[in-house]
Parts: sequence; C-alpha cells; structure tokens
Amino acid sequence: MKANIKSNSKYLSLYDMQKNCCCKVTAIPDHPLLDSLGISTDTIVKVQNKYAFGGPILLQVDTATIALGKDIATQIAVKEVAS
Amino acid sequence: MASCHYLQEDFRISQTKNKILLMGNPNVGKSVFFTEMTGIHAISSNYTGTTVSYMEGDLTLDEEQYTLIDVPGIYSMNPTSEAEAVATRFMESGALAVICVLDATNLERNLRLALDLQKYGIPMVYALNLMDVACRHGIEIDVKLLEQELGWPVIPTVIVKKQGLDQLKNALKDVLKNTQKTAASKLPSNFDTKARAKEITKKVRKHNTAELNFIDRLGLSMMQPFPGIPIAILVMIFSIGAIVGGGKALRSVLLLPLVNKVLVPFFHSLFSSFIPEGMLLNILIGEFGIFVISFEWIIALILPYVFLFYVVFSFLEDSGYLPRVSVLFDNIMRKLGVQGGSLINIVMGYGCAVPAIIGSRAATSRKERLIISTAVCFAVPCISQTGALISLLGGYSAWLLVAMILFSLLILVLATLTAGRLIDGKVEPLLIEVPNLLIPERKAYTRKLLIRMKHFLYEAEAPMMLSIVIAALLKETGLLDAIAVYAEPIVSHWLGLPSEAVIALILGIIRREMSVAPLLALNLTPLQAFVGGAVSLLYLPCLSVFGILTKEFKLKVALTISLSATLLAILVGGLINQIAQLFM
Repeated sequence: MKANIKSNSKYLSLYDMQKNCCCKVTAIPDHPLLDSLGISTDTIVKVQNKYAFGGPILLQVDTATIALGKDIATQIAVKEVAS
Repeated sequence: MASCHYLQEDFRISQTKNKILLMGNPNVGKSVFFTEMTGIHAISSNYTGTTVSYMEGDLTLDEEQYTLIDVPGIYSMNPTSEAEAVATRFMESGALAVICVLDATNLERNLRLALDLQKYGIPMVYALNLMDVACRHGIEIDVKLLEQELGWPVIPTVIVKKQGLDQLKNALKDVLKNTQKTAASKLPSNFDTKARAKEITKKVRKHNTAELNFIDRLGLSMMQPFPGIPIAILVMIFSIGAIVGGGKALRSVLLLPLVNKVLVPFFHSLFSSFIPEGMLLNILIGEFGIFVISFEWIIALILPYVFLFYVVFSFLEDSGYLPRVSVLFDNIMRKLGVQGGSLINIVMGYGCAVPAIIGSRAATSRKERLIISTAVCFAVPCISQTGALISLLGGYSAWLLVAMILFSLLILVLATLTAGRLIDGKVEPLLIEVPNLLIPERKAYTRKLLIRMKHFLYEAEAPMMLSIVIAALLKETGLLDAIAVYAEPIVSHWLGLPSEAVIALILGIIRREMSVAPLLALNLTPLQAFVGGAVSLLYLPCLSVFGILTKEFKLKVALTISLSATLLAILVGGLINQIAQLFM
C-alpha cells in the first residue's frame, strides 16, 4: 500500500513522531529495503532518536536498530500507539 | 585454491561442481564462517555490504572436496538488487547444500530469508550466530524447537570464537549424506514466509529485559548528538594522533635508523665492492639510487603510516562504530548532496581509493557512487600519500599540516557539492541497520590487519618499485635536468617550485605518494612545500585508481575525473603560489 500524503489531511508521518514515541506503520512507500529491514504495514516501531537539521530518525524495530533518512521517513504513514 | 570474483562473472556459477553456498542477511558473520571453514581470508567488518563480490574456497569434509561459496549478504530472495539477483542464480545453479547463517539478535527478519531458501529444495543447515550478543541482550532462543519448526539442523554458534564450528561441519556432513529428505521439505513458491517467520519467532524466542551492559550503553550514547558528536571528534583526534604521532615515532626511533644505519650502508658496501664508480653504481646506490630510495620511501616513509591507518580503521570497522557516525552526520552529508552512509566509503578512501570505489557499489544509486568516487579522487589522500605529506609538511610546522587538512576538507566539500550539481540522477535517503557495538575479537582483528598489509604490499609493491626505478634512472642519468627545462614555465614560474620538482609530477602518475616523496629532498620553503602538497593532493589519482574507475564506470568517467583533477591541481597550486607571492 502506498502512502498518499496530500489526499489525507490527518496523515501523520513517521518523521513527525518525537523521541520515545511508539507507533504503528499504516502505509509505506514502495522501497524494497523497507520491507527487508522489517518495516511494513502494521509493524510497531519505537522512535529512539530524531536528529536536527534534517537528520535521520532512529527506530527500534523488533530487536534491531534502523536509521531512516528524512526523505523516506516523511513518506511513511503511522498511527501513535501506547508504548 | 581461493579466488574472488566480481558479480558480473557469475556465468561461472553453474560450472562449479560440488557447491555449498554460504548465505544469510548482511552483517551476520558469513565472511568469518568462510574464513574458518576454508582457511581463506575474506575481509569482514561490522557493517553491511562487505562482500560486494563473491568468494569461493575449498572445503574438505570426510576427505570429500567441496567448493564453499560466500554469497553476498541479502535480505530476501526477491531480486530487488544486483546482490539478490546473483543469490537467486546461485540457488538455481545446482548447489549440494546451503549453510544459512542467522543472526540470533534479529531472529524474525533472518527467518524470512531462512524460509525463503527452503523454496529451492536444497538441503539446509542453519548456523544461529551471535548467540553471545543475544544472550547479553536477554534474548533466549529454544534451539531444539526452532530446529523442529524449520525442519533442518540449527547449530548455535559464536563464530568469532569458533564456538559451534565442529557441530556445524558434522551437521553439514549429515545433510549431505541424507539427500532424500530434501524434496519432501521443499516449500511452495507462494508460501507466506513473512507470517511464518513471525509465528516461529513467537514460539521459540523469549525476550527478557536485560540490564544493558557498558558496551550497549556506549553504543546508544554514540548515536545521541550529545555525547555522540564530542565522542566522534575525540575518536577523530585520537585516530589522527595515533596515525601521525605513532607513524612519526616508528619512523624516527626504528625505521630511519634501520634504513640509514643498516640497510643502505650494507647495500652500499656490497655494490661498491664489485661495481666501479660511475652511472651504474649511482643508479643502484647514489643519492637517488634504487637501493637508497626504495628503503627510504617504502620502509621509512610509507609503511608505518599504512600499518597504523589499518590498525585504527580495522578497529573502527569491526567495532560497528562507523555506521553510528553515518547516522550522526547524515544531516551534514545530506546538505552536501549524499547520504550519511557515504561517509564510510570516504573514510575508507583515506586508506586507499580502490576499495572505497569498489565499496561504493553498496550505494543505492549511480549518482551517489559517482559523487563518492569523485570526492575520493579529488580530495582524499590515500594513506601512503598522507604519510608522505605528513613528513613533508610536518617537518616545517604542525600549522602547515593543519592548513593542509583544512584545505583538503574544503576541496572535499566543494568537490562533493560540484559533483552533486553536475551529475544527473537521484541520491537515495539513508536506510541502514545499525549493528551492535562490539569489541573486536583479537584473533579476527589481527588476521584482518595482516591480510590488509599483505594486500597492500602485494598491490603496491610493483608500481612503487616501477616509480623508484624511473626516479633513479631519470635522476642519475641526468635525463631529469633535460625534462625540467621544458617543464619550467609551469613548475617554476607558475607553481614556484624548483624545476627538479617535475619528477614528482612524472612519478605521481604511477602512485600518489610518489608525487610527494621526491619533494622531501629538495629543501623547499614552507610555501613551496604547501604548494607541492596541494598539487599532489589534487593531482591525478594513481594508475590503479584510474583502472578501477574505468572498470566500475567507463573510460570516459576515468578520463574526466583524472584530467579535471590534474588541471585543478596545477590551477589551484599556482593560484596559492601567486597570491602568496603578492603578500611576501
């Protein structure tokens, strides 16, 4: 499923999330590595850190630590869940 | 007999008999398994994408000969990248068995590939590696149950400590004997491996909250801007200090006395005893004689720095520190038009541009590869050249050396920005898994260091000797003086260097450090030394780099990079000289 940012005003991107937030991925862009690294629809991720000046977002996905650049994190739609 | 092949050569795959494939996700330790099982040294490191080409080596089990193939690390069998496409072809090429290495700290994702591989109907053995790290993280895995769920042997391993290696070999022997099982356990091609991996993980894994140990906490802190950035600066200062300071100490305490008091006098007395004085004797042991400068340059000037660079770099590489720096500085790298991951290739370029350019294959777009290669060729001196530059500039003042470092960083920024503007295409955003921070295992680390030094000597010896012979012949036959007259307008009038400095420009075509080494003997002024250093930094990448640029891209790319770098070298070197003259 491809995220459609513009058509959905309530769209919350992964990049909008703050440090220590937990969220559930609701849509991901078409990028082969995302699924390979374990990020797909319904995956729960925890934001470990977010870097200033357009830096990446650091996530905990299951037991792995994954860094996603801003350009791709903004295209991932999420929904906040309780940690 | 071992050999390393580039991915393009995979037509050989189907012809190899008795193949056993070594497969797994990136950074699970496949290369260490390969080394332990074949005795052949594959270079491994603690980040993804070290095996960008594949290795093959002999494996003997019960006196039977097999060929073990170290397939590049992949996440899935969907051919979305070149490495995955090659892995698919390997699986379809009639292998006898597959050793699939699994990362115990990241089970679910690894199981997806583990199950994907079962769709090919090939006997499997699973090595559940990194068991020590998993244990440290509070991860418990029921190995017996996992074995039942997967239907093939699962051997827990800590391969850097050789734990589980014998059991793995025995399990492999068993599956090779018992081939009837294979057809029955083949998974259908549309089998949902993702759901099944999740299900198995849930059954076999228990994740207790473990108290993070010092290394894990350090690993996390290194990725926080504070204290991560101060740590990065300290690591950089310490690394440069260890290489520059350690190199200088080795040179003055051990290597220079060895060369000047032992080696050179020995060959001097040896050759003088049977060769009469004249040109031949001068070519051999004159001021620029082959048996003088080859020791001075190779042993005393280049080797200590090369060795110390790899001591530091291999440590950083094996510890998993470099991907952390990529994350930390991704924002700055993005402003330069590349992503943080490129930083690892650029740092690698400070060792040698050849592996940096080959390693950039892991970059996701051609544009990024070209930007990295251009930046490395223009502004990143290889370690031999750095050693020579340290000796040249450090001899005057530490500030001259600092000025050169700042100058090279400025060129790095400008070259990266310009290449980003000029090259069409897109740069993909950062998308990496950050590995566990590890203390490198002593044996694996030492072995890697030895392989790197061996590679360096093997690769660099011939071109270094060639430059030295050319240098000796030009200088001692007087030919250099004749050439110097023609080069005077550029070398002396524009660059402000003594006319003999033309030898640096001639030798620099062959090896980068040779564009600096001859300047050491010319008694230059500080300005001349800086100009010479700046020209050398920007000058033609060496012959090997030219070769790899042609191979990885096209002759046109190699020529464009080399010619523009050389023209810029002469232009910028001259401008520095001319502007400085105005103030003097």
